Amino acid sequence: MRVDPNYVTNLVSSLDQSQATEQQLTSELSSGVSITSLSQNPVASGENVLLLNQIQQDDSFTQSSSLVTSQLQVADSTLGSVVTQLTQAISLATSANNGTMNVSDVKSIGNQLSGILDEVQSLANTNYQGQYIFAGGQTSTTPFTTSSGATTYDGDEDTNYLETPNGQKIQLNVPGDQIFLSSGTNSVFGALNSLIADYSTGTVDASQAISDTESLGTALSFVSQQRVTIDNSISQLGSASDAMTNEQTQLIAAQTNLMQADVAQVSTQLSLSETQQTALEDVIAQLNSTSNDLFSKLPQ
Amino acid sequence: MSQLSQLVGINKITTENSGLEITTTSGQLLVSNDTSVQMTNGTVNGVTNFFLGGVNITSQLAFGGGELGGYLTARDEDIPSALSSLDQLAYSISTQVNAQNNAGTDLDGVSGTKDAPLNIFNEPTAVSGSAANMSVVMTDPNHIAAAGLNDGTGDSSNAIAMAGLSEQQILNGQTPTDYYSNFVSTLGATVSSVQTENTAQNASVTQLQTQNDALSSVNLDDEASSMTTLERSYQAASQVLTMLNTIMAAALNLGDQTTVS
Repeated sequence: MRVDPNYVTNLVSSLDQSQATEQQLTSELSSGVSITSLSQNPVASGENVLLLNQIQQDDSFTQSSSLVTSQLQVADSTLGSVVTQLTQAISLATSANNGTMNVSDVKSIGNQLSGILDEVQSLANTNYQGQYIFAGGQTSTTPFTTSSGATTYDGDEDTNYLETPNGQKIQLNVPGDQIFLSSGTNSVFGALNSLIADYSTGTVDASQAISDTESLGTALSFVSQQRVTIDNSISQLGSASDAMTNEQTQLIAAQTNLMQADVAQVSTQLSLSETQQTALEDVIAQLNSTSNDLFSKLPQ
Repeated sequence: MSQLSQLVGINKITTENSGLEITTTSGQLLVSNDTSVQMTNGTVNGVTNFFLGGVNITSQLAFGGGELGGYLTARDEDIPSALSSLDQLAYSISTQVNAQNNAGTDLDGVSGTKDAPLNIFNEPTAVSGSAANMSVVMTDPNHIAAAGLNDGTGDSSNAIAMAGLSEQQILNGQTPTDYYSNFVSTLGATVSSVQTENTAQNASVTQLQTQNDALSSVNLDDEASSMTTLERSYQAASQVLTMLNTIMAAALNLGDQTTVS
């Protein structure tokens, strides 16, 4: 069995392979990414898709959450202003009910209460970025209008929820009629309209006026209670948002681990590969040298 | 023949009278003794196909091996398979999102109808080609039907339903993300296994080549020593001839140096 005299050509294909490995390691080192094509690690590539998707969802939630939080904060501060107005109204009504005022003073109280009603109605008709926030689902229509001493609601009862990635549902709005036109003594507009009517003539029917003033007090407490729903939503959103940001950080770390090149390891492999290649090239150069041929020994 | 086998998978048959027949691996005759059949190419539906004596042998060539077999397998099987998976994904997403958008009310209070649909994506007519043709056709963001049907424009239930599509198993029992993740892994695994096979086959070819060369190729050192031996034999023989010539001349001259040289 003779030795193959052409084994040098076979070494060339080994050289090609060695060069390809070296190139791949170099690009891995310079890009910092260990997986530059799907075939290098199919399972990791598939997992990467799932991680990226989760990261995007968390990001999406964080963005929605901050937009919605602004709206909720507007609702919260609006209700704060309403409480201030109603407190003012109660003190005006109390002063009118104490029997020391004359007709024109009482009428003046009536006018001031009218002004407060207009203010409260305008607060109830707050518009945030083109949407009426106390109109339920009918956010393109002005929810409250007052005429002939009665206030009507043109919105609906629709409530919206934001669902967190882990399934928690956070309420985003309270329909206006639940806050301002609730039944009986809880109705803000009901109490205000009644009081305005009570003081319109200038003479006060004491028992009626006192009863209506008490209603206004009850309505004010009721508004404060409704405000709690919105405050709860704000704090729930804050916690959920923080949790999602944390989760996103962890997922990004996991993804980095999956895809990132281990610089130390790759450098070692690259150095080995370069040594191998140099050795191969030397061997080929030596073997290929024509001075080993017997023909060169023959006299010309 | 080595060049031919690199291009197309072949079988070699030695006939009686030591003739040679070469066929493709699926049996089509290429060469018979001293006649050969011309392989031609032409287009069928805009795609290059190969013909042998008028018969379309493209699909047989794809299985036969060789460079041509490799290209044809990639072109006619692997690539269409990947394209079809992507088409399926694009088709499902486009049709489902469009359908959901048409099941709600947009910011102008309008709901999509059969004649005037509110489509976000270009609605595909068939699965094939959906991926290439996928595009966003909606230009006015007011037409995103976030509200439920007949609900006020401030409602968000339809938008929530659209977002929920990503968790639904709308693709052969898989969510879109899982489907794509599987597709990526499968494609990677296919390429990886082909690369492994390639490495193994290369090693095998190298070994066989080595064995072949060991038997049949020329070793210059052997040849040099043979040549030297032959040269010296020739010189020795020609010396004998020269001596014979001198002896013959002496015999003819019979002692007299001048008659024949």
